[in-house]
Amino acid sequence: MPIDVKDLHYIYFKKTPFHADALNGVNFHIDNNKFVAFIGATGSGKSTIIQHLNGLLIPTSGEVKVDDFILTSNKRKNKSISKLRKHVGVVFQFPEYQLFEETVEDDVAFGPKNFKVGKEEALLKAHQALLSVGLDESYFKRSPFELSGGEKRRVAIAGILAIEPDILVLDEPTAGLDSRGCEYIMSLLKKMHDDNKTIILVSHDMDLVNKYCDYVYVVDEGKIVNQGSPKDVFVSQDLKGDLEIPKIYYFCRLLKEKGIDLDINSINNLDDLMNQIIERIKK
Amino acid sequence: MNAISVKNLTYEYEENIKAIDNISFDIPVGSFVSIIGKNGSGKSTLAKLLDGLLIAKSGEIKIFDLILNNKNIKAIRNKIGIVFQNPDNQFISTTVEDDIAFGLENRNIDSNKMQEIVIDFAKKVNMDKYLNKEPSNLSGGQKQRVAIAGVLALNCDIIILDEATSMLDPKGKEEIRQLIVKMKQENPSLTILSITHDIEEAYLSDYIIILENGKIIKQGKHKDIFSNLDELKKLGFETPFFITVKQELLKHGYDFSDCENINDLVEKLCQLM
Amino acid sequence: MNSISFGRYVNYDSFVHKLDARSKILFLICLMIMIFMPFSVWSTSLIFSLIYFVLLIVLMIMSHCSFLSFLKGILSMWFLFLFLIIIFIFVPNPNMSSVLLYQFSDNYAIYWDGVYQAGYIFLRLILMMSLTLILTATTKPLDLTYALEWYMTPLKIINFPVHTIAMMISIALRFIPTFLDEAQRIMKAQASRGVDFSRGGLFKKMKAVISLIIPLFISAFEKSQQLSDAMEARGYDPNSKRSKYRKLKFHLKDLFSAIFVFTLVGFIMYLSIAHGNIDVIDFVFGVKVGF
Repeated sequence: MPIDVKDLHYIYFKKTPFHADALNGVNFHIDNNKFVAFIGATGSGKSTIIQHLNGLLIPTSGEVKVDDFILTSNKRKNKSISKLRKHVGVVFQFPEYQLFEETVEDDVAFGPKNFKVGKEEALLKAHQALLSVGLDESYFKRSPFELSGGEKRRVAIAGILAIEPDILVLDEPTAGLDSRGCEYIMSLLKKMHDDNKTIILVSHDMDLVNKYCDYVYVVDEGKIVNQGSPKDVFVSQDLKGDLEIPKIYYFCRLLKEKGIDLDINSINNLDDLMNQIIERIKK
Repeated sequence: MNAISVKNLTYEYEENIKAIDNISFDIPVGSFVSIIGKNGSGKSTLAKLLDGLLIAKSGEIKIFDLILNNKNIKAIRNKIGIVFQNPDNQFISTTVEDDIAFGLENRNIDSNKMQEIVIDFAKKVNMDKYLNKEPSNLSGGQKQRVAIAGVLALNCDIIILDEATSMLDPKGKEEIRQLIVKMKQENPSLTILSITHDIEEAYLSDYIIILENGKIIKQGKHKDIFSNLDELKKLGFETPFFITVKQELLKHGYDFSDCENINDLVEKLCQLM
Repeated sequence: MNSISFGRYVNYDSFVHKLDARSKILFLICLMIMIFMPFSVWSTSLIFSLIYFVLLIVLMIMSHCSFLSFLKGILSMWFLFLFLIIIFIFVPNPNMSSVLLYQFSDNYAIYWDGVYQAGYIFLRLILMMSLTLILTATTKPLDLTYALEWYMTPLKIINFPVHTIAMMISIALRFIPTFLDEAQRIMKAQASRGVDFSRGGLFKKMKAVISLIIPLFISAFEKSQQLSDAMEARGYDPNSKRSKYRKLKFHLKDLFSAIFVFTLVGFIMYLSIAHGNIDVIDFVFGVKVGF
């Protein structure tokens, strides 16, 4: 399912003293089976963008098109939002706070049931989703509230996966997890991506973005100010001070400031970086 | 003298499930200690035990020369300040200045003197331009800075940072790290105990205690811990980028072990190239 | 929070904003008394109501309250007006002796008097509500709390926990926006899982509400636990003496406003009590208007 966003504007609290322009004309196109990230400082508008993708927010003006679902400011035309949500699953930041059922399997089955899947089948989908996030049978009947933070998050993600969306959107899925937890979640997303799903990510962890994503949009003040492959973006863009860049590129930058220009385009990981440095020293 | 001294401390959430399992350590006055461990290692429980928010099953905690018990708890709270994990849930008052003043009000400080103290500490954490802002208009990093100011204003001898940066974005994390370093420089006698899973943060401290399943599995001085990266990796911790680079260079036969920080390293590298 | 209406605190630097919260509360009470001072001649009542409205609009302009949202607020109260009309016009009142509006049957009729009374009450309610909303729009909730605490101070003598209650109110005020945000976030998260909060049968709706309420409660308990930890760690003890950072201070502004308000209210009260049956139009123009 391709996504097409055209001249998207969004204003919070329109016509009140609290009026705030969140998005000022956002355009992008995401093809099938992409792994993309929206990056930018807190408050730049990333989260506002992704909430349009399944109709949680309705454009103030402009158009959001997912496959043949079209969202515009005209509310009467947006009838198929519920269908859209079946195809675009959004996982919010700290999703563990949305759990409410007595057992893990019931909670995960809640989504499919809302989309009119029979009880039996919903449970089946729930079990599949739980297994795919690495939680085995022993978890199915447990209460979600007695799990650890990382496990809760996996249950919450499974809750969206069970709906079997074609597009998976995640807002900061690794926030607050330790490095082991981060890697686990990301490898999970990689697996979904290999399974032909489109993954859209909002993240602050540039090392993870660099490692997993194949396209990056930089958002600033409600606009997309740069886009491209992660490396292109991190190398070319003079990112604003509060956006961290992956550590290897940060190191390259420090060297560049001292007048040492490395061939950044051929650096993909730490080993590449080291080899270039050693070569330069030997010369 | 020890600011904190823990002996054979054990805490059970439920019968026989030990969150803290017979641990002992000493933290001398003026030191900066990090307790690192993964999610669920028991480090947050430890922080709550140290401030008397939880009561241990057995063992002893001594803050300076006071044993932590019901009788001493007030005196001990006057010495310890804690910055908690969630920036929102520790912002008690409706504005920045009121929140910094909250602890001072509890100490019954004269109203006329308070404003000066509040502004002074707001300046220290660089929040003096936001005095009348409400928490909903602040970033996570700014809220944490306010919390730190509120704690510093109380003139504590010990500051415990209980995963104070784990919910922040990279900018917020960096702000807090820099603030910790500055705090330490301005007041060398301040004892800082940072409980964290962020290795970059632990790297700032001069002593590290590694916790797993409620037990101390390793502790040592900064140099000892960070000279053995393979072991750190085995324990499941990512190693700080700067140290990894140094070690990689060492493998190729270039020794930069005397470099203290990344800028130093870049400087020396440039001289070689 | 998508509906921000008249009455929510907006930070401006106006004269009204700068007044002390305690004087504003006192003025509000005085003005309310003034509004309800009765005049027996209906044209006089109407004229005074008009004067009050002019004063209200001046006050609104002074305090940067939006007139448009004020009108919207009044329009949204139409059902109240309807209710008043029904009560005052259609419920038989033995004292009604004025001009007949419509005779339904031999022993049931409605009178103009009822319309007049309904309008009278409605105008006054609008005035009262608008004044209250101007107070809340120009005063920080926290300052209001402190002011109420100040007024309740004498109750400390009978061991009424004035301070604890004030602290509770101020914490509630602090966390209301946080909870609204949280509720909205959970609603969005559940909507992403296919919950439709507006449609569906009773069972579906109940399930939808449960999926919102339970997470909200869990988060509220967690928040309150963490908050109480934070308060305790910073040495809060409700039983020991606390000083106050925020000092309420009366300024010269408050004095001038007080003189103005008291004079006005005093004058109206004098008129109402001593000359309650005055006919202003007759008094000024020498013309009698009436039925």
